[in-house]
Amino acid sequence: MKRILGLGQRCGLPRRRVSQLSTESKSSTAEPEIVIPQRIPRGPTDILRALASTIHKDHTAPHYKFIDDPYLIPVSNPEKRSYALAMESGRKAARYMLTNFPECFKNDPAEPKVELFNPPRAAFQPGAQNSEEDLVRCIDEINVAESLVVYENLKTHGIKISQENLLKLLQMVSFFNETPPDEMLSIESKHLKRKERQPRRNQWKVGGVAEKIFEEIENKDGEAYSALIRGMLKHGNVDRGYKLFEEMLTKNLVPTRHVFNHLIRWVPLLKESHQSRLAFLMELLNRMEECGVRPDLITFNSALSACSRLGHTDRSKIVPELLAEMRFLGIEPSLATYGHILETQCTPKTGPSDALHRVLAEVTQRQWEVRDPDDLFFLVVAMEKVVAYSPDRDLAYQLLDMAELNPHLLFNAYNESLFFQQLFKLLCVTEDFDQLMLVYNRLVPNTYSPEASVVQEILTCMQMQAAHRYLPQLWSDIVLLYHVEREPILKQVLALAASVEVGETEESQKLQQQCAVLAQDMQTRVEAINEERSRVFRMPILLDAEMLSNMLLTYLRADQMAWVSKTLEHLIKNQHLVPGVPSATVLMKLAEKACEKEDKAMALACARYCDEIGHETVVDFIKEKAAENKNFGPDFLTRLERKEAAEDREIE
Amino acid sequence: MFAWFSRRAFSTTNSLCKKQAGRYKPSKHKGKHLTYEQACPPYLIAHWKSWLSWNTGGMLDGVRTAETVMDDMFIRKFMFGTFHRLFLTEVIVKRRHNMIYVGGVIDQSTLPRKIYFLTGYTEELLSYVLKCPVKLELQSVPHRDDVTYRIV
Repeated sequence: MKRILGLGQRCGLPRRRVSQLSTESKSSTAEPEIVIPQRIPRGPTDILRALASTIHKDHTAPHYKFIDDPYLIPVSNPEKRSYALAMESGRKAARYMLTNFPECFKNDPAEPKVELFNPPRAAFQPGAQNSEEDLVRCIDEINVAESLVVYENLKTHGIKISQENLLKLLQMVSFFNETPPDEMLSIESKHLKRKERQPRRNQWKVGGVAEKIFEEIENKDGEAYSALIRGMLKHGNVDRGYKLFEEMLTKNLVPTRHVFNHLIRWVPLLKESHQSRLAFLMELLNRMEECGVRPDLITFNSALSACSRLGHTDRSKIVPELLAEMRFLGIEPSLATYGHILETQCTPKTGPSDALHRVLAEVTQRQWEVRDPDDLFFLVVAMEKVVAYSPDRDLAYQLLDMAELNPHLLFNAYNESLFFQQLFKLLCVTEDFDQLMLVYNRLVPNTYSPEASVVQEILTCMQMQAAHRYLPQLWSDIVLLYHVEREPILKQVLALAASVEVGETEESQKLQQQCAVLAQDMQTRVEAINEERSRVFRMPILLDAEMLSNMLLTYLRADQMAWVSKTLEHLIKNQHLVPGVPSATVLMKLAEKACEKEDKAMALACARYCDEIGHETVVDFIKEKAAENKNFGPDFLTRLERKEAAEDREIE
Repeated sequence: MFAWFSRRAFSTTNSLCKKQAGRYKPSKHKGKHLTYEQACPPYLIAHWKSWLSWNTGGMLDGVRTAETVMDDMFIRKFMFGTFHRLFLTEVIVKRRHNMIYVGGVIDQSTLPRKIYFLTGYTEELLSYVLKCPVKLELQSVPHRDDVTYRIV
């Protein structure tokens, strides 16, 4: 037994196998009892769910709407926008062809027919003979413009429309305020459009078609009134809507829940003072109870949103009451509810409160469905509150995790950029730069393209934490993100490149060289842009004296003398394009280097330039060095005395 | 005797059977650029290279065989006409479930914006014509010569 064991160890065999070789049976002491687990009932999709949970968002891949090819993947925001819109306009072009030349697309082998893949039907023309079915069809298609055309046609031909369909039409027309919802067609434009949180005021078309249809309804019941009032309130005509609401109540008609919801949302506009707002809110809620209308999630969310415009004492009293009522009715809060709680609890007056921590702890760990349109604003609101009242990076990370878990909550480009902007600005202040770059590398450029202000913030953070090693990477991102034309960013980058620590280590030498390459790249890019701009009579990018001296310093450290002389020439020749004068210290360093290299032309140019702008110390230094060094020759000093370069050239 | 016999025999080897389809004759001045797909003769399909049309029309009890071939031809003509002088390889048409995926390699000589426009246009129009969702899967190369595998 022992011999075999020893053999096993020498051969590197695992112990288990050796024990299998031995004939001796194992002693069975304290054999653990096998416990067969209870059977867990599984649903038919549980395996799929388990598989799906292993898949996470791939940050290295572009969004699904883009073509997955290096040349066609957008990096900057303008690119993302223009590519998405280009694809969309291609689709529109195809639709145009289908609508205008239907005779070319007659082949339809599909069986059964798929409605969506048929060419669009011919539009209903004004003045044509239509039937009521056409109207119903238009309403079913949610085609506002054409349903109005059909409605007019029916009226001119004296065809009577049934009350039921008239009500349907009224509901649709007042919901959309007569304007066709064109954005329903194009997802991209919708994604790129900025969505307003509060509907704009006074958009309702007074005396429009909706009101005419309402007049035409003979039996004006609660539904008809509610449809019209809802439209008015939705499109910001609050006073008229409220007047109609009162008229309705005097006629003993019961308004729908939506009317109450809209009215509650508009409470801050209908009443002026805090007291009357509170009273009115309570009155509406009581009226709801009287009418027997059961409140829903939107009712409570609207009430909470109205509460954010109440006085502090009223608010602290009524918000818990509303939440208790909500729990009593068994309505589960949505994200908008939490958002409104944050808005009422974290205000400049209350200052930092633990509400933020508590709400986020409850909310961030799970997936959410959108049940109220305001749910979509939760992430941005929460991030704003975190930045303003409790700048804590852990909270920001919690929100980021939540955003990754619920990507649908950042529903449009504007919201997305607002969220990430706030995130990065917070991380720049609170986070270690290495950690910040981990987040940056994960999100940029496929999930988020930083705006100029965020890039500036990151550069400032880099300066503060002396993390110059990331400068080359960040510069290449700046180029890809089209921020090269922004002077403040160029200024910061050059300041960083010039402030790289001078060290003897290989790494710092490498960084010096990289910074010099970066400065060269910047200079060539700026020259190209300026040439392009001069062609179209646009203001050139102005590199001021500070930027140019930083550039000089970078070149001097990396020993790039050709580029030093190029920059010096630019400084001397294009003085009208360079605001300010470079500092004496930089020019002194330049003079030192020129004398060390015995570059007569550069020393001469430098001395003359310094003489011109009044840096006497540098001129004296060069004179001194020239007198010491025999290689400069006696004529160097005499040439230095001559002010005019033209004379100099004549002598040569 | 043997030579006489072999000449009269019924021969099926590639060297004796003068097949021409899918093979490219060497040009006089050796200036014909072939892609990998063109450089491999048809008998190498499923060994060195793969099919250009993927569908179940050729299987036992496959449906719409003829129609599928015609549709594929239409798609190819449409792609070469719409992405004019951009396609560097053959167009690959794959049918998966109720979807048609159209792939291929294009030139980077056009702005990405225009490629996106054409993609949107093609997807929409082909979807209407073929009555099923069509999706483009394009890849691009910087230069025409990048797809050259052999010059004959």
